Amino acid sequence: MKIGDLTSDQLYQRFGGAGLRARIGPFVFRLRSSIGSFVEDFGFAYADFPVCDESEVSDFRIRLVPAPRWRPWREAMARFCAEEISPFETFPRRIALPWAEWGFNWCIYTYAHQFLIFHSAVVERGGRAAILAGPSGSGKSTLCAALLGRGWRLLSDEFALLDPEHGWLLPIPRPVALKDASIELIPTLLPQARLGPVFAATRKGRIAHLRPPTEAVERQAEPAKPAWVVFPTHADNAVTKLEPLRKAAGFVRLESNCFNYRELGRSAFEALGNVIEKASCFALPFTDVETAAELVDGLAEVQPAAAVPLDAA
Amino acid sequence: MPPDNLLLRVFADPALIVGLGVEGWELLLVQARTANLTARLSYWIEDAGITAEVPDRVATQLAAARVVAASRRRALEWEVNRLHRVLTAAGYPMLLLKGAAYAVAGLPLARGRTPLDIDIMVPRNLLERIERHLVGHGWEPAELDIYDRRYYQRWSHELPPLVHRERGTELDVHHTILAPLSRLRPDPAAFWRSGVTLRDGSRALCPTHMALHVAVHLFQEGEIAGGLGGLVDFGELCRYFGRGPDFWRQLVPDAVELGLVRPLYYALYYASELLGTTVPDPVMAEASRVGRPPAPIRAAMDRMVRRAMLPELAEYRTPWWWVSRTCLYIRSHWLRMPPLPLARHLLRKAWVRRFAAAS
Amino acid sequence: MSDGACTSGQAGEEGTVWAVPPANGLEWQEFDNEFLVYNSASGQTHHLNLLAGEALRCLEDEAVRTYELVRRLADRFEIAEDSPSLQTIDQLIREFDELGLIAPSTS
Repeated sequence: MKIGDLTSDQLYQRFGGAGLRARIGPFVFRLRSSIGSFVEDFGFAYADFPVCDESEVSDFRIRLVPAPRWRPWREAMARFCAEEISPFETFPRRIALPWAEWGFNWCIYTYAHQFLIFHSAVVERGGRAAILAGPSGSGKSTLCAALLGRGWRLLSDEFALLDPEHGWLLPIPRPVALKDASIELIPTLLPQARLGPVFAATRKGRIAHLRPPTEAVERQAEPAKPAWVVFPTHADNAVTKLEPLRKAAGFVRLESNCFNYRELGRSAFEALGNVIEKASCFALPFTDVETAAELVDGLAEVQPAAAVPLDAA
Repeated sequence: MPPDNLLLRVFADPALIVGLGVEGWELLLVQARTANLTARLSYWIEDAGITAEVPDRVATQLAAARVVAASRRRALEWEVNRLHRVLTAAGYPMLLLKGAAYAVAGLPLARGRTPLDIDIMVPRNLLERIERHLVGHGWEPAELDIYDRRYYQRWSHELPPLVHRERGTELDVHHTILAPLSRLRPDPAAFWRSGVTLRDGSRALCPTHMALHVAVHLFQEGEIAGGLGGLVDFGELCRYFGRGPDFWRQLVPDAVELGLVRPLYYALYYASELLGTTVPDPVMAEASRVGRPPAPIRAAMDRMVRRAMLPELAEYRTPWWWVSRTCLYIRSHWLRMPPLPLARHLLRKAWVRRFAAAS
Repeated sequence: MSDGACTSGQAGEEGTVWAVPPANGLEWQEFDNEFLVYNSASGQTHHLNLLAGEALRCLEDEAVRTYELVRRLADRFEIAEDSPSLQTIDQLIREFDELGLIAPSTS
């Protein structure tokens, strides 16, 4: 059963009672909230995800609760709690979903050390995955959305979850967070885009969530191995091109996008080394996301044997 | 009805997890994560021989917590290594306190801990010289906000913490450990004299002093610090060292000598009462005789302790500020590259050597 | 933790014998003559160029004094001992020591 199969009443009931258990990527989230607008927004963005029954122990226990408003004229506030820990200050209830998304991110990079976790989007084509690694503002979400429009499968918009033992990337195809100009841009690149409401005045400007393609969610149990590691950097006057990177440079740069490299110690060193050994690394400065997406698309046309030329910089 | 402190009950009796349902496991995990005791809990369960009772999805979460604890322990032992390289190599003595001592001594209680900083004790007369020496080798005084400053003044550490410029680790250098709580102001020389030497040449407190140090930190005047983890530490130290003949015999007399009978009484009472730690009757009786406060004080303390042992609900906690990683983790060593022809020459030679050896 | 940690010795002292302590348990990866090294004692990873990598490998194989290391590297790469690349070995030793990759050797 999917979240979208529940009636409004059923959804509110679960959120307000023992909690909604949903399988999102490799994780089971248990979610509780009495905030109606949040339940509704979540229900739309996550409609395709499967509901779990009460016999599944969850990975994260989350509550979104109303917070007292200290001054009567301030808007209604809310608080995000995971395991009875409140990692953020309170925030306005009307932007609960973006905050919840940041909260889910916090849970993952704080606790999910069974994986090596990178700050990156991951897309897959023909059984091979591209890691689009970079900090916030690098343009990876926008590039990711553009690639979905070209038929790539979404594994993740925010995190690459690498199983250190087997070298697989585990999908976690959560809604793609689009910011400011991307909100208008992406529907032009991805006509079938289903966008949630626009949240104004979050700490990162305007945000809207692109509902993940149904197929991506249906295939969320299918991992993929990385064939390319791309470091996109969006700038207003960049020359859009794919620049091959030396492998050691790729290693160092990918490590700088890793949340828990130090925690995993030796197994991180080995796992990252295996990724770099088998994948080709590129920097991708870009201005126009369509051109950038076309270049990444081009990588998938090349068969694995034709690797990076030896005298690459 | 007070909330169920399942975490405490499981530490007291790990067998409680057998047959625990989904709700129970989830409550346990929430409490463990809130109290930052998840990894320690996993070792508790392992030591009780009941790891097979843990459902897969719970086991994954416990294992992930161990990963973090292991990396903190590695970092802690590395700090000790670096302090040896800097202090011991220059002839300065160093006594390890708390987590660092447990780890280097290889005590079972060191497993699963997540220490954030390292505490050492040095002789009072060398304090300033040692600080200068440390500052000359990569440490610098930490920037303190007003709350931290108050803490350091209160505990008379005198030396604000040092932070290592590159590793970002925090070092607290003490010259004594029990002032201002102890009315007798014990001479730190007693700690050095009774101290033990560990396998790497570090010094550490002797077992009774170690236990008293934990008791003092737990039962500070007016508040309980360290929560359930601190009480578990105390119980474990008693259990481990209590196997030998001297620990129980010396514990109360040492507390008397140092003026710490009240915290010791509380520690022994609550470890046995809440965690089921076995305290020999004569020891408990003697500790009560010298250290038990009047009933009204005991009642007030009891309320405080039981509340402190329970992980707090989020609504009552202050925002949790996380330290972000500031430096690139991989350190580069790039010698000035030789001119191009020589580079090619070097590359060719290296290639030849490697493949020549293989063939 | 590290063998020989109690012996005094500073980089630059002619007599100091340097080596990688066995406890470090170094792990190596190489990509196109650049090295990545993991020190399991410190949990740190280092990115070394060819010369630095070869120097560290020498120190892993056996304990040597600085001038001996220079000689070995000169041999290995068939360059003169006073060539520019080898002038910085002193500094490299200091950095390796600071990072804990090497330590004065007692043996």
